[in-house]
Amino acid sequence: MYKDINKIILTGTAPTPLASYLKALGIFRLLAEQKDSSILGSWNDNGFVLLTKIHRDEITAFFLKEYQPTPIIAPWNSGSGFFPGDNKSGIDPLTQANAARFFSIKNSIIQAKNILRQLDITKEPSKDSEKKALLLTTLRSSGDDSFVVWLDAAVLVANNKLMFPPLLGTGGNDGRLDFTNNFMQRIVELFDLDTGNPQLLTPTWLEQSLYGTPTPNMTKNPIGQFAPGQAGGANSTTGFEADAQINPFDFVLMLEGTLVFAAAATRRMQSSDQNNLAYPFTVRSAAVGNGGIAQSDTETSHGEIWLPLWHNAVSFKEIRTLFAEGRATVGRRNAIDGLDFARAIGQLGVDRGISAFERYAFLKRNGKAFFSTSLGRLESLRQSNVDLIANLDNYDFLARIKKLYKSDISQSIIQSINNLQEAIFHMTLPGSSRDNVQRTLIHLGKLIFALSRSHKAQENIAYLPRLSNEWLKSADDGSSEFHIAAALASLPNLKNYLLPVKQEGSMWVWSTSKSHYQMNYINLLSIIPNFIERQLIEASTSEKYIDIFYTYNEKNRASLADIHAFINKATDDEHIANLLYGLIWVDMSQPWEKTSPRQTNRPTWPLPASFTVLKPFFTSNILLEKIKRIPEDTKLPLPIVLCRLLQAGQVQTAVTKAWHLGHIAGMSWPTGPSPRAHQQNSTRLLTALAIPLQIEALKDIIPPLVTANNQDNSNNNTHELTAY
Amino acid sequence: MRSFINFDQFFYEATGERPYPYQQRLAATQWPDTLWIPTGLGKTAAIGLAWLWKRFYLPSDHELHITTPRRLIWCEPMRVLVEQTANIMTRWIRRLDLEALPDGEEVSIHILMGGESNQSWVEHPERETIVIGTQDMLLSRALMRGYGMSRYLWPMHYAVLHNDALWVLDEIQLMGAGLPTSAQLEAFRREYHTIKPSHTIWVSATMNTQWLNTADFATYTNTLKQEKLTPEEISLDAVAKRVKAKKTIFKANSHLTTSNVNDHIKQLIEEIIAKHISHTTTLIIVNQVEQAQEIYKRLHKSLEHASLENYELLLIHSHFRLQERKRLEDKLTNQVTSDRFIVATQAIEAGVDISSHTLFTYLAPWASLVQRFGRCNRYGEIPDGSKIYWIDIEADTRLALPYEINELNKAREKLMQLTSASPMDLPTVDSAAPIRPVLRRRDFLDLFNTDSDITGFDVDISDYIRDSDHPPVQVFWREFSDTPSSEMSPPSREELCPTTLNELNKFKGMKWIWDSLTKRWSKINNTSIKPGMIILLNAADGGYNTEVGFRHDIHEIVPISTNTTSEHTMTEVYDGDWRSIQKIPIELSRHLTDAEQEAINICNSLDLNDEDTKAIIKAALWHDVGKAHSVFQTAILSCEEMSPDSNHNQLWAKSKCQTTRYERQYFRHELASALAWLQTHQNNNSSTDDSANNTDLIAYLIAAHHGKVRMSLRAMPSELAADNNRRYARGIWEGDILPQLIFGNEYLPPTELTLVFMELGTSDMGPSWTTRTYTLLEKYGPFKLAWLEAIVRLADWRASSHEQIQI
Repeated sequence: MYKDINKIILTGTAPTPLASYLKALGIFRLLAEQKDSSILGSWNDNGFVLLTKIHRDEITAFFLKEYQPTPIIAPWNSGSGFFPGDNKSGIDPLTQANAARFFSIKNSIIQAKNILRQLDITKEPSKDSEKKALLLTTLRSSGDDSFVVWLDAAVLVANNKLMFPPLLGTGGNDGRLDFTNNFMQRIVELFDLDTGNPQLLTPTWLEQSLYGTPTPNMTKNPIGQFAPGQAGGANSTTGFEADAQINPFDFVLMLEGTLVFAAAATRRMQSSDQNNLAYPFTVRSAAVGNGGIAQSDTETSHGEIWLPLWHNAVSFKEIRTLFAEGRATVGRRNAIDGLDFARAIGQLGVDRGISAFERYAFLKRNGKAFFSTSLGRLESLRQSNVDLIANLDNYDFLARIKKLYKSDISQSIIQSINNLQEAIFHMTLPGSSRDNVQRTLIHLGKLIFALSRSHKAQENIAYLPRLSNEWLKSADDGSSEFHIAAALASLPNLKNYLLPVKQEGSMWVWSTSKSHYQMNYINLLSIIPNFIERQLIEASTSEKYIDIFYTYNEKNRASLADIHAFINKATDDEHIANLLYGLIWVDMSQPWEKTSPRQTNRPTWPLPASFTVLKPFFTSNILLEKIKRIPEDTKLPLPIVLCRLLQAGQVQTAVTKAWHLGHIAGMSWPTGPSPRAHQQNSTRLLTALAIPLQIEALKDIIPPLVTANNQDNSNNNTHELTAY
Repeated sequence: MRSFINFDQFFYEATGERPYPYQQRLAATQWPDTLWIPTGLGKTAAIGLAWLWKRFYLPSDHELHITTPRRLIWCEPMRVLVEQTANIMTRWIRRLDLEALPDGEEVSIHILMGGESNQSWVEHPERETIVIGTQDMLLSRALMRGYGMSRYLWPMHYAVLHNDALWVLDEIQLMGAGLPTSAQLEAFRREYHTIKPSHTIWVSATMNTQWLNTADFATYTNTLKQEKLTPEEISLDAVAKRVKAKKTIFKANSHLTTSNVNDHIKQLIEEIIAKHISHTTTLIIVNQVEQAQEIYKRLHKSLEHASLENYELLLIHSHFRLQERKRLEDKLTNQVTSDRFIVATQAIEAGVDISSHTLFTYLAPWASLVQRFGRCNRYGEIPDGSKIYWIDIEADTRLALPYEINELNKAREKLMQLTSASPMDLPTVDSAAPIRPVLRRRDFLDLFNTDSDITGFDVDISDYIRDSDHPPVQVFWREFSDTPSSEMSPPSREELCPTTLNELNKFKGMKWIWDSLTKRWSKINNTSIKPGMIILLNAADGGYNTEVGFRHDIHEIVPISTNTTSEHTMTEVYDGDWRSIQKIPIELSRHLTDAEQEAINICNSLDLNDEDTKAIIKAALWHDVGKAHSVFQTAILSCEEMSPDSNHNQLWAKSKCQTTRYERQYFRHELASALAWLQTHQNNNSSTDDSANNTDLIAYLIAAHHGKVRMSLRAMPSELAADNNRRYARGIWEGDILPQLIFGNEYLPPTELTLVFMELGTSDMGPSWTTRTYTLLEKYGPFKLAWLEAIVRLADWRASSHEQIQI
């Protein structure tokens, strides 16, 4: 069946600028609806490709002689041709048109004029007036079906309110420029309205419009906000200035292309929130919480649109359905608009086999008319990050923080929410790095910390997130900071020390007991020593032995190199603390495949003896027993005095005491006096000691028990002792 | 079944009265499009009894039987009318002994309004059924977005409401935006065709057919069959008595202005007492609830000091709990033995069958006034006639609420000309239909797709259901100390009291809302309260009185009825599949053939055409083959009772395990079924199998049999991705393998599933899912497609329940 199909490449179209994309959609739509309903279309590198049973010259003939313009009129705008003082050079001739191909638009004009008369409207009703809503409701209720399609692309009227999708400015105009009046004027330029025949230049314009060689930057054809030119120069204003040169067919086809877009009023089921505007592939951005949507100080964003590019040959019906499916409800009231949008569009793109999205922002520069600017192309790939975000959104966490916007909550929490959303948004973009994932973790930690200070917020966020192990893999940048933070986060009791939270079943919830939790967010060297001391105090009041250095998982531990870096102040402590507050929400019960460390695994210089002597006391006894570093049924508890000595800067005393206690416990240290401790920051040492250390490293620095069976290993002792 | 000589006898048996000629005409001719009959002349009997007559007493090959739809859908603008219509229809059906028909089936009456969520009426589309509901419930269902129900059942309700259904739109002057919607729906039904004829009758005492002139119905309005009283009928004694009932109109002395709100009430009460005629009823109809409460309160005081011996004072408005409202309605219909004063809002305007000697009414839109005038000397029972005093309202937006100033101005002009409000003297309702959003074709066709948009929002239909600037919230009271227990049962319908946001905002007590996520009650502040919410209040905080209704400044403890039976509305989670959990486990191949058999039975009883029947039966036979998927089998064998040891190699459709959890969230077996069907029936056009022509239809019917996989196929928003970058959607992953399956006369070879159908365009496997489904929608139209969809689902439901009984 394919042998009679012609492949026609519309080399005059391209995904950028926006005007050219819309033109392709317009051509596709008109041919499908008025000429060949079986036509298929797709994008390739050269433009929009048609597969159709008609020939190239038939397409030309169609547009020249048959094409019936859609009633693209806006009797609600001043400048639309419907009101006194408007340019009438398009509307008046069309009202008188005799050729049948113009009857659809002609009849709609006449009907609209009647409605204006009935409603006694003689000038544009003011923007938010009831009259305007009434006019639009009437037009939509009684207009022709094809006019309704146009109206839905330009403006939404619901519950007596008007909402304007950014694609068509404010209801089909843009500042002083009325798209629809220009549309009618261009039709008049292109055709003889009595005979329906093309004007003299029309065939040339058509050829250029359909097949003209695209230039990457179409500065010569500015078309309102759809194809902004560069500032300066005769042909480069953002609107239709008198001397702007445009191809009338480009303009006509472009507006015909906007009809693929249709707004809808939506609301969440089972809620009776006010309704919202949903528009295909479009996010309307607002000043707050627009997670990553383009914004700068000098430009006001009116939103973004992400236009799909597809390689498969597709019927127009399917594209129409795709654009209906692509409707997104993202507006001013939805705090995390950018994020939800990116997630949702990304997934639809993957599902539908869309290869990429061309991303545009509608910006307002210096308070003047809007213009669209390309923000580049996003390849449509399934990002594993999308799953991470879905995971973060378990128990509706994101929806719930979004709700906080509506309650009156402190500015610092709002800021934290914005930061988190921004970070999540960047995670969704193609090419997102581990840094982006880390940033999300950090801002999550900061947000939860901020929430812990607000009762009001806690009421809204009942369940705290439980992030899957996948987060570790995606955030691990191989840095010591990350590995240290992850190792610390593996200490089970740390979370409820840092925050007023508790575990209820499998969920983490807020705890009302505020007896103790860390107030100091940033200073790791105070957080960790205090945590250890608190644990020791609690353990001392307990009847049974508490292994406070037990970790969720034996693998998620730091390496000697990490400890080295930390002790030698080669790490960014603030970054560790920040990561830690995020990583405590990650499931640490499973190991992850670590990214190769940036540093070499083996320290190139020895660890301080104070660390190696003290470390066994800061290690799970069960583990020590398992790796045969202490005799069976022996305990090597950490005496609180060791911590206090370290806190007090008395490292040497602490080492001596530990040396003594270790021997008593039966550790295979050499006999003799304790090693000498170097002058060092004892709080840092204490913090370093608390970091769970990899088993291999523990084996390296703690000598194995000398038994009849492992005499052979005794050499190791000597080796390790040299490390002191 | 009892036999009757003729309709008259039938009518008499039911009502104890002889039918009016127009009632006889309805039973003896084709259904009209409009029925325009003055209040009090038995419109309900006219349609209800004619429908029963045509369906049950005319032979099945009689033309009038054939053109009378099997379902009578009675759409009312208000709950009170629903109850009233249901009561009276039930009474007649009882008298006619139609409750239990010889074949064991009965004419069942089902009520559909907020809080009533019974859905047995959709389960028997082959039976005669009367559904009486509010316009919110019925129109939302007709738009595929049914309020207060599981979204996955939308297509079922849609199917039975559009096909083989006689819609009666009652009291249309009160329907607001619902009226143009009903006209558009009728136009679409006529255009896209239904499986069996459906028809709409618009009913009112005050009809203007211009109101039906919507974009798509306008082509039919010139040829409407209109039923109204003939001049001869008007002169019949019984009719004349009503139509010519004497009602004199006066302008009341008191007059509401912005400056005299307080004095005005005082003056009005004096006037009410002065004009009251002893041992009769005086009715005062007010425009706002708060105003009604105030008048009630002050009238109560004044009456205590008046010289009346034994009087009754009632307050009627919509802000009462159902339990009190029922009691009030009973009181209303009691015989009047003493002096009676009724203060009411427009809640009493339509339908409620009462009559008064003296009527006070505030100025209201003309159509409303006509209704109000019907509330005095209703039956012409007062020989000297009744007196109507209308109370003028200054042209002020706030005072005019809930109406608009210009509506009131127009009504005032008319009133000024009038001295009699006798039905025959009233000018016709000439007001043009107010401008309202009209449901357009594209809106309607869009709604056929029940998926949310990509951000989880649904198309909002409220603009097409009714006019409402301030949709009410509902509140209920319970006793608790500080915090309501999460164990507390949900509110029953009897407990719910509607109110406005404004009134609720003024109420000082703590407000609570159920948080379904955390499964507990949480506090809600005024700014977060949104229309449609159900709010819990502490009985100790007051806010309600059984005589006055909801009012923010009532501080006494609210009495709690102990008899509150809770009704759980079913909300289904996406991957929920409660029908797969049964007492008796059923093998998959058996369930498939059982469903096939049920499909055959239903198709026979519905007399469907051959092609549709074949598609339905095939879809029923294949509907659950996707249950062979290992994710499903693992889940339903995950308890001891179903341990794999004892069920070696068997594939199951129904399990005894009480909880099933899929290892893949959002798993939908019906998608696997549909894919397996499509993949094994591609490119077999040469096959002699008839179903080949219907491959796509059958695939759609299979997929849609839970209402969860329909027009579009995509992954769920928070669904976790399949590994290795495979395609995935709703728990099915590209490359999943269904094991071979033998069922009925069919064989499914081991099949590696592909989701290539999700993607745009045409692949080796043919067109995309979207192309296929939208082509079906074009070919069959929304009504027929939904109908076929519903029948397959029913076959499955019936097979599932019969399997549990038969063993």
